[in-house]
Amino acid sequence: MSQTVRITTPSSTRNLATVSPSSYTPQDVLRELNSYQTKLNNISFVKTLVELSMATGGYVQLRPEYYHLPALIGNDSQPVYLYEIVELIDEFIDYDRIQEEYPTLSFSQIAGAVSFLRKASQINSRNIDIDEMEDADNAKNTELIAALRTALADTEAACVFPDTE
Amino acid sequence: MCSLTLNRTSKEQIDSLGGEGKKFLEKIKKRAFDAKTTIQGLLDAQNTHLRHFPNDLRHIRKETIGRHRVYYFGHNTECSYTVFYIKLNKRGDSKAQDDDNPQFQDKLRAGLASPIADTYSEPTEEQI
Repeated sequence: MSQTVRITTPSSTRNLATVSPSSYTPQDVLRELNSYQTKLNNISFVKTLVELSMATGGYVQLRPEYYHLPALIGNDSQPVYLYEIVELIDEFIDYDRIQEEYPTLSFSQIAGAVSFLRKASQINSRNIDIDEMEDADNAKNTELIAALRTALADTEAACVFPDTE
Repeated sequence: MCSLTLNRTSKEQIDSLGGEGKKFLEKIKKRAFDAKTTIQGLLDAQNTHLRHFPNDLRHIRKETIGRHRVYYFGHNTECSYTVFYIKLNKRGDSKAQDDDNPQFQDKLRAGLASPIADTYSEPTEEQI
C-alpha cells in the first residue's frame, strides 16, 4: 500500500512524494534526491534566463503558467514560444552570407549553432524535452506514420547530390 | 563529401515550397556534404534519433530545418543519406501540411500546464 510523504512548515503542509514503504530503499532516496538536484539546477538556469529577459527589455517572458518556457506574448495574449521564432530565423537566414562574414566556419558549425540556440530556447522549469514530446506525439499520429511508410516504399531516386554527371 | 538522395515524394514536397525550396534544399545538401566516412555530420547527431516510433520505422531519423521536419535514413559510415519525406509546417498555406502544428501547440500547452506529480519546499530555519 502506498503512502504520501508530507513536509510540514509552520504555514503549510505539502505532499513530498507518494511512496510504497516496502520498496523504499536507499537507492530510492538517492533517486529522489537526484531528481530534486536536477530540478534545482534547472531552476537556477531558468532564473538566469529571467535576468537576461529583464536586461533585454522584458520582451521574452518566462511565465509560471508555461513553466517558464521562453515566449513572446502576442496581442491576442497567446504565447509564441521563442524556439518557434528561432525556427523561423533558421528558415529565413542566408547561411552563405554568414560564411562570407566568417569564412573560417563551416556550414555545419553555423547550422549547429542555430540548432543549439533552438534547444536552449526550449529550456523550461519542468525539464520537458519539447522535441521528445513532439516525436512521441508524432509516433501516435496514424496519418503521419502511414505517410512515412508510403514514402519509404517510394524507392525511386529522383535526385542524387552531388551531381556527378 | 557524402551524398544525398531525394526520392520522388520528398522532391515533390521541396518543389511545393516554390522559391524557398531551393534554399531549403541547399541546407539539406550541405548537411550531407559536410559529413565524411570518418567524420560524423549534423545528420548523425544524437538528437536526430526517433525513440518513440514503431519498430519498422526505428531506423529513420529526423532533422529540423526551420519549421520543417526532414525524415531520412543513412549514416556517415555509408557516406550516403536518403531523404524520403518532409513534414512541412508552414502556417496558412493550403498546399503544405498546415496540420498538426496548431494541435501540437495545444498539446504542448496542456503538457506544460499539467499538475506537478511531486512538490518540495525549502526547510524553515527551525528545521535547519
